[in-house]
Amino acid sequence: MRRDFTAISGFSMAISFVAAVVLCLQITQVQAAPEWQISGLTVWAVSLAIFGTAIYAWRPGISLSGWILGILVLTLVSLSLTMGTAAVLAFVQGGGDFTAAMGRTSTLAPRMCAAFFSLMVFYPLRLLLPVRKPRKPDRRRFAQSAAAQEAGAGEGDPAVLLVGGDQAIPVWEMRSRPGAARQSSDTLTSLELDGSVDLPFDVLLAQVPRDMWGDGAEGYSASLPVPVPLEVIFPQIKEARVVMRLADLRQLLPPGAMKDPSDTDLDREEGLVLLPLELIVPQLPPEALELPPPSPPAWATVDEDESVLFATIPAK
Amino acid sequence: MASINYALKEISCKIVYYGAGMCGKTTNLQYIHQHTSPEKRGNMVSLATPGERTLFFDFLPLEAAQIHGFRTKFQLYTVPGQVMYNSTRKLVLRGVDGIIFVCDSQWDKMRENVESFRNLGDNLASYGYSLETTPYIVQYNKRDLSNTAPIEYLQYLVNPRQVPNTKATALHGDGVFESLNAICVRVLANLARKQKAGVA
Repeated sequence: MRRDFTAISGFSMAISFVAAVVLCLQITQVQAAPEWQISGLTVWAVSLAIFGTAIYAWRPGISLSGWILGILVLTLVSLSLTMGTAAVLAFVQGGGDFTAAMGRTSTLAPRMCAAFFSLMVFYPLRLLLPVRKPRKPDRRRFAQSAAAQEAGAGEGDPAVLLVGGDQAIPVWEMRSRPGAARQSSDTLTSLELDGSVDLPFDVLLAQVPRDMWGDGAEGYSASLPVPVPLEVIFPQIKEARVVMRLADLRQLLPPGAMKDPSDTDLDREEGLVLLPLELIVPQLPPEALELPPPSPPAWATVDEDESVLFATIPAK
Repeated sequence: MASINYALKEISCKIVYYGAGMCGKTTNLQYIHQHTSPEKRGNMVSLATPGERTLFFDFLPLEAAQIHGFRTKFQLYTVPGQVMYNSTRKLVLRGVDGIIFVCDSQWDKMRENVESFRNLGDNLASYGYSLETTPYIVQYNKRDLSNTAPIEYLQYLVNPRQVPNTKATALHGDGVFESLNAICVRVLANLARKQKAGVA
């Protein structure tokens, strides 16, 4: 799971930078005089190709702007490594001729060393690169999904299977009442269903069995908001449980977070995951929990004067 | 059903604490038992497992103040909350006069609350009773915990009729007597109403 940039990340970047300068310095001093004749342009092209590939591998689903930004930052890191090495070289040689030192550190071996080490220095920063927004789910598919239809299920429906974390767990039988479903649908008609509720990426991913995680699952920010449509939530909120098919969840998660359907068993795709009520309910519009005007039974109203029958005594 | 003994001038009513497992039904009764005068209560009978799960039911007889010259006795029962003991729950509900539905406020108990509330309706129906005619209140228990759902959502789930409700922390006694009073006065008022109508 990707975590936010921390002090430890900054420390490891600094250590990597110093190590890179020392190694580049060593390479500059030991390299043979007659060098391969490779143009500077070629070295740049190779470096950029390495940078671009690395960023794409680290951040599946990265946006184009994020990808370009990453390459730019990596280039800057690589340049600063080369210049840092040159500055140290000029200092240790005593002459202080920075230009001459730059000439020596700009040859093939130190440049490639700087390029590879810049990847190491940059690695913690990959977390900050923007990714593409998760795709909007196909509403029609959700409307037909098992999760959405559950609210209208009749009495005596077979038990459903919930999957959570690494294993599948059976849960109690779903027993929706026609009356309850009717009340929910009445409320639904008066609500705007175009909205969504944002749930953190890590919470949703934790519900997916580990062996269904995609290669990019650990590359996303834990707090990346994943919008879950209200039309999935509303029909189920009365049941005190909001579930979703794994196949539907895949549509909501960013690319690469879950394995492709072709790589997983079809039966497992139908497995249901439990969404956290405690994160969903506080985000619901107030009208979602509105009850019809109270119609308490006759016994519910009493004379306030007769409202005290028992009084407490201190515990012994 | 409530019994009225005119010769002894005595009214006896049955109150049942209903709810999901571990929601605090027995804790309510224990607090009442500890905080009522020994002259006004009998012994509390409790059949529980070593893990403090109610195995059969808890029972506490209690006497309230005299009302219109009648001694008023309440028999407080709890039911075992675990799903597998439904026949016991059904048995305890026989002849019930009032129900306190204890709702665990914790997020992870929401589903169990809903199931238990539906189970209550089913079990009442098996005796020909209903929540429309049987006085009940809803007690939202464990309000002192940090992972509790808002009252609005609890109302939405288990109190669509919007009958009286109380907030409680049964472990510390908050709301315990408020809940008991709330149901007892409604049970008596319902009894009086039935008397007038010539039903009881």
